[in-house]
Amino acid sequence: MPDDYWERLNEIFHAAVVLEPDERIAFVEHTCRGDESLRKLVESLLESHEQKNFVDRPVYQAAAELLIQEAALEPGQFVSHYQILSLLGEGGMGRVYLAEDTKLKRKVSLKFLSQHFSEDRQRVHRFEQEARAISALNHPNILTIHEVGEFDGGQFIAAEFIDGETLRGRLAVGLELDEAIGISTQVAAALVAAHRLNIVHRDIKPENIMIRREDGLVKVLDFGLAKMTPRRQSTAAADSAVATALMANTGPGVVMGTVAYVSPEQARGDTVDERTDIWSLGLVLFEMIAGCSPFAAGTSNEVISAILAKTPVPPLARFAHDVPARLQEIVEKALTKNRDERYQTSKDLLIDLKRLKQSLELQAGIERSTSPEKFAVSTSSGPSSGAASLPPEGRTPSIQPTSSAEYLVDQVKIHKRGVIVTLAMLVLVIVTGALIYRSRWKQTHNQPEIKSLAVLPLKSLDAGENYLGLGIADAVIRRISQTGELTVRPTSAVRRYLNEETDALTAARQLNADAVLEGSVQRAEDRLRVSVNLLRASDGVSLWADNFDMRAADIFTIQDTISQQVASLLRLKLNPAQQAHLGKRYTSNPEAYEYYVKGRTNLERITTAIGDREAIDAAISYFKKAVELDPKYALAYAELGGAYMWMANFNDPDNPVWVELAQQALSQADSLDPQLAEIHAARFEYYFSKYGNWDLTQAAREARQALAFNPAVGHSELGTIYEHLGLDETTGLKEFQRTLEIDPTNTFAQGRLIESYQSYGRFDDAIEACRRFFGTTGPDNALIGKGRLDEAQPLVEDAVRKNSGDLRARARLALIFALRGKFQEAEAATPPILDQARNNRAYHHITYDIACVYALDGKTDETVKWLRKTADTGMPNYPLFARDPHLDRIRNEPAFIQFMAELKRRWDGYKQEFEKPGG
Amino acid sequence: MPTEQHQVTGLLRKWGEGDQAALDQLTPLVYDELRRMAHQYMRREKPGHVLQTSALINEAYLRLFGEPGIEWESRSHFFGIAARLMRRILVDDARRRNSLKRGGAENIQVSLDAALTVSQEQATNVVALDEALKSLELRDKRQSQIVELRFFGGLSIEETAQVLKVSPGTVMRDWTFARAWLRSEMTNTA
Repeated sequence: MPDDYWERLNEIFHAAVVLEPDERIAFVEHTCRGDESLRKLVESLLESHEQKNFVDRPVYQAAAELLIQEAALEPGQFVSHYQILSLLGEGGMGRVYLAEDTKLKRKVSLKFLSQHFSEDRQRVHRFEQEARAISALNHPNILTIHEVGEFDGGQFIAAEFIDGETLRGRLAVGLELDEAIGISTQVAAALVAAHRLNIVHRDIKPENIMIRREDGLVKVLDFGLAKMTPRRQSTAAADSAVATALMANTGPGVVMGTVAYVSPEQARGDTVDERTDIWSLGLVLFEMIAGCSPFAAGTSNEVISAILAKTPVPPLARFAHDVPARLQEIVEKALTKNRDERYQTSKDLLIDLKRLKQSLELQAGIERSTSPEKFAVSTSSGPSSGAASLPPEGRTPSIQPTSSAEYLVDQVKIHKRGVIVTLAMLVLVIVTGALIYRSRWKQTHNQPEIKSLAVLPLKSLDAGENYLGLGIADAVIRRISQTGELTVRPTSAVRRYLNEETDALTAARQLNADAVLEGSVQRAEDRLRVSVNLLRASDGVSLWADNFDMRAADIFTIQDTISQQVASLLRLKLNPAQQAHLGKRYTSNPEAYEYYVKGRTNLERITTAIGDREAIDAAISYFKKAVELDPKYALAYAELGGAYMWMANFNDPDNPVWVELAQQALSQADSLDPQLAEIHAARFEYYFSKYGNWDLTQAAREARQALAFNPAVGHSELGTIYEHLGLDETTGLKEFQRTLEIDPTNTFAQGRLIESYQSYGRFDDAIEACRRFFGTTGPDNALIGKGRLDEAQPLVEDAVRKNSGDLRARARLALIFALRGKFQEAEAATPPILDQARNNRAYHHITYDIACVYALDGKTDETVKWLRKTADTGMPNYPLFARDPHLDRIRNEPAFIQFMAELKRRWDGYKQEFEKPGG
Repeated sequence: MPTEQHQVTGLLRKWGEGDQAALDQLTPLVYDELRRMAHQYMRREKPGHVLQTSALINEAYLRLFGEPGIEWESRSHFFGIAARLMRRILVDDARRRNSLKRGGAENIQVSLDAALTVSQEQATNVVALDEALKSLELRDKRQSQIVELRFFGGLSIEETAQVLKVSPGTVMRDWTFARAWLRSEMTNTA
């Protein structure tokens, strides 16, 4: 159709559509006279226009629903670092896959839940914390949940993959007495671990007990998942799909737990406690020996009647031969209907089971030589008189899974088929939903939010391997702190635990950290065995524990995994850039990395003991080796540059070679990886020095850049600039305070905070901080400021006595003399100080004290000379000069006034520069 | 700005400049983002909550670009792509269901599955609509865009007007005609 035809069609339509229907016909006929097809088209359009319900409402939900439909994963596909091997099953609840953890080279089962199971936010919230506690149980007899991950907008659970079968499967084959007791003992051990944390399983049954094929190790599945109390009908009923499902499947008389294994108190709907699990384990034990449940009696209601009936459970002897009397006692005590007469703790049950096991083993040892006869399950087809009639299903396993994943699948299938929809099953669904529904710690109510973390050096179990444990810790610290989502104590703060036998929780307290990661590392030939444990400091609960056994070359994978896991467990919400930090590898050469760590170790020794030439020489040579081995190792170059800069500023300021070397190393680092905070921290040292002409603006820029790349690096640098300029006190002090938040044990940072208090004239705060941090009276300058010369003088004298090279102390002593009116003495001391201080980094502080000496003596020209020097060498602190009473005597002198006016202009420039938005 | 944002912004610009290959790269990125947003949305809301496509697209947009500073051009391109995606998702799904139900027979008379909670009365014949929309596009590109944005993208008249840089009156007028024309076209072809 030509365009003008279309235009005309539009025009006619719009003209007609505003008319009354009867007018329309005449109008259209008139307008389309001679063009029959046009008339018909317009009429058709007008007719269509009148019809409702056509594209009137957008396809809102339809497309969105399609968006959230999950596609099945294909073998070979990756979910995080898990590679899908096969789909094990799917059902209404979701899909379960067998997958390989490509990092740790182990098989895992991955369970994805359907969207609608995880939509009940409130419920999910309530259960989440508990679910987490379960995943933290970390007991060999409890199935380990490795991770609750996120994929494609949905969540999944990665759990240990157990190659084995459930107890239900084993029951079909029949069990020997020692096996039955062995399994019960292991289940009891799992219960003890859980009950210690007040977690009640509520659904102990043969389907929830896995036996590993390889070694018979027992794993209790879905531990504690059933503990949470579902909402009763009385509360806002239809709050969710899950609640509805719950209701639909729980008519009167249906209770928590798989019917055959519920305790009398569960059957009555009473509250449950750990004795409920004891009952259920008693039943499982009974069934392992008798081959059937004492209450298996047809319908659910009949089973429940039997459970609630006063009649005690029938003796085991009816079902099996040679049941030891002690075993009968244990089963009876576990299966006492009144729970107050039952075993009161799982520990008691465990002890009894262990004793029985030992005595049987001992007996077996004796009997082995005399009689080969073994305990056997009675094969008689029915119970003896008086026993409840046993349905054939009593011994017919309905499912026989061979792996934990298959177990999950079977549960899914059961759910789908609707064969055994038990409440427990639904609770499992809900709690799994809880597990997959992630939120941050702060959203849970009972535990404080984890804001800070200490990663302790991993204890090396081999001699001479210290760097390895420290190196792993260092890498984890670096990665997590760079995300900026958590305050991580820096390596310098945790280093001391390398050689200290301090337990992790004590260390956490000392470091004031909310959580602590500890572990050990062991090298065996070319393999590394690393184990880690993440503890919550407030109550010592283990949030995560894991072992890694991998090639030594995979040390970086271990670092990745630990960092990722910690981030995931502490619920850090990371954007892709932060994620990248978490997984960033700076080298792939383990040897180069080793040298880097050794270099860092030496460097950190120096920050607390300025002037340790030996340590800095060692650091430099290690970093050099690191970059020789890996010429692309940007971080090692950056550290090397930093070390050279340190040399240039502190250890060997008279030799110009260091700054040259520093520049070279830093530009090399920059060209390899321009996003390293270390580069900018080192460049700060360059600009805030004679080499960079004390360019405070540029120095501040470098500090800010460092902070942008790593939120833990650059605070004290930025604070230093504010402090030396006397700029906005709140901001300046905040930077130092932040440094201390990151590492409360950092004495260096403590000293810097005290110093900046003094610099801002907050003497009381300085004195208070000195007392708090060091337990001493001080600092000298604050005491001087407060006029407490008698207290200040011995401190300063002491410092000079200890180190005659402490030029700052010597200048300060001169100031004290001047304040006491001993000008001759004070002024006589200054020339040698100034002479030696020329290349001292603290030169500006020294010249300032000397300026004060001259001001007190009324010598304006000398004062102005040294004040100018101070301002030109990094401390144009106009507010200090304007405020300090030590300068009052010459304040009205024209030379001073003129100098101050000049300085003011310069300072205003800085102020403007710093206070401009984003500056 | 995270890399994905960078990427999307750059691609949007390229596409705006006529680079068709950019669209191919852009579509999966936007698709992923919409999927992610939909998942988040569904988790956040109570079951039974209606997921508003427009809200979804808006959120995806804000997440990708943040609020200020993004050029208008990119914004309308983004909404255009998102609405087109929604259309494709629905049409593909309808076709798939069609082939499943009819054993692959060529029959485009498939309405949206009731399970997708589109009310029966509104059970639009998505595939037929798609075909009609293609015909409309040949005749009047803007009208077809308006339908795409409004029906598949869930945008309001005002939003559509903003995206297409025309007045709301024009959108209303075009929409009224396009709606009638599509309906008529579908009735006559059926």
